[in-house]
Amino acid sequence: MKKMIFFTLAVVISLIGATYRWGDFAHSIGLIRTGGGEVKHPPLFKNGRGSYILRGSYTLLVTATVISPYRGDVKVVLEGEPKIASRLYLSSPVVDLGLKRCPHLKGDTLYDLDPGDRIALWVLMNHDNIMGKYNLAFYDAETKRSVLNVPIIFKGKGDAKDAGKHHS
Amino acid sequence: MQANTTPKKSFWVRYRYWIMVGSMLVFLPPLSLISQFSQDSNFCGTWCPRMFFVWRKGMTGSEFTMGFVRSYLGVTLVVSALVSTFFWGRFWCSYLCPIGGTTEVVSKIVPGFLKIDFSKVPSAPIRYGYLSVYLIAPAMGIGQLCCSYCNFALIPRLFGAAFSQADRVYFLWTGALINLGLIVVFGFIARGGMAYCNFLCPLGALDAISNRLGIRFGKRVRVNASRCDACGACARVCPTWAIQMTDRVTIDHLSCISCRECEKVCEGAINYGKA
Repeated sequence: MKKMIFFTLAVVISLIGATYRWGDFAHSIGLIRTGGGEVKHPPLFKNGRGSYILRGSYTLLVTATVISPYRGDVKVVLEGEPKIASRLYLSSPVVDLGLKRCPHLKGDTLYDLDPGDRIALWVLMNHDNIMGKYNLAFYDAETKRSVLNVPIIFKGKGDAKDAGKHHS
Repeated sequence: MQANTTPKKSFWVRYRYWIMVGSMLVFLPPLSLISQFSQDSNFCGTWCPRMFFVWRKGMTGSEFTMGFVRSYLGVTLVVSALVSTFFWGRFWCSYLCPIGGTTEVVSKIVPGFLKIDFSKVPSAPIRYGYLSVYLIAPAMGIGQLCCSYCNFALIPRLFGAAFSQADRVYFLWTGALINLGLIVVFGFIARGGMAYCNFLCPLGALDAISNRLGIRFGKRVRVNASRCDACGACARVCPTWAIQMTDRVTIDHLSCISCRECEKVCEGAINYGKA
């Protein structure tokens, strides 16, 4: 009986954890390629939901793979109005032992992307009460052509259902 | 003077904590030595051991297979852990896992008066209740627990946060802070430091099944009832409260991680071997 109670309790609490989405984080998966990339799970953020602790702070993680034959440097721009204060951070080894060549981020540009490379780019956006559509655009630094575009939607307080939708 | 009949403890028993610390140094920042072979800096990506076996609603067979390909090193790690567990017990969980290693090592440092004792809570029902939702909720399309509450995502970034802005950003969302709370309560300040592993690690839950299935064929921690004086020392040091003291000592192999802490304090009644 005790085991049954704990099992049921675990199922109920886990279900709540699984179904509730924090609105201040999303994860998108993309492909960087010549002639425009591709994105899965475009993010949706929900104002006022989830960011109870860190109000007005939204985190987007973009993981992307570079598809052959693309190689080069990529400028990352958050496009949309009104402007949002944002910062980019690239996950990379703290102590690079040189076992594998890694792309690197300087300012808003990713340098040294080669086919097969995978990046994990964190975008931190700080703004309260924003709504509307934005784009995280990735342009080839030389040709200025788009190699990936991540549409970002900020929703108001009314529609909570798909807020913070992200890849599992 | 009484002759010392206690058998010499094996290398694994004597140096377990050093092996765990070594594993943390190898797997976690700042070195992240293992993940650097694959252009990763943590367990996300090719090393992810938690996501590839989860079927999500709407997924095609090829998308599911691609998950295995994308996380091929995580797949290798999980398969190796499960196979080695079947034959030799849970070496991954008890010696090599840097995540459980971190919570256990930190809990050793935390003063006793701060610790929470979860030993009265039956771990298997919670573990498999959690695992059921972990596997079924994404298949039904009602939610997921993979990344939001991931111990393999959090612990490396906890170390990395001291050095890397990207790792610090991870902690700027509510879900990560709640996950951190779970790690603190069920890990760092839990008696034994392994309540998180015992309740909420899907890899640990699968590994426990492999451990239980291989009990007749593989090496396990076993009690020699004729030599046991039921002193209870083994139950007191078990980090996963897998040892029950009734009229005799029994080991629950769904929770035992073969860490052999019990063997360390026992005068010869507990040994590690085949049935």
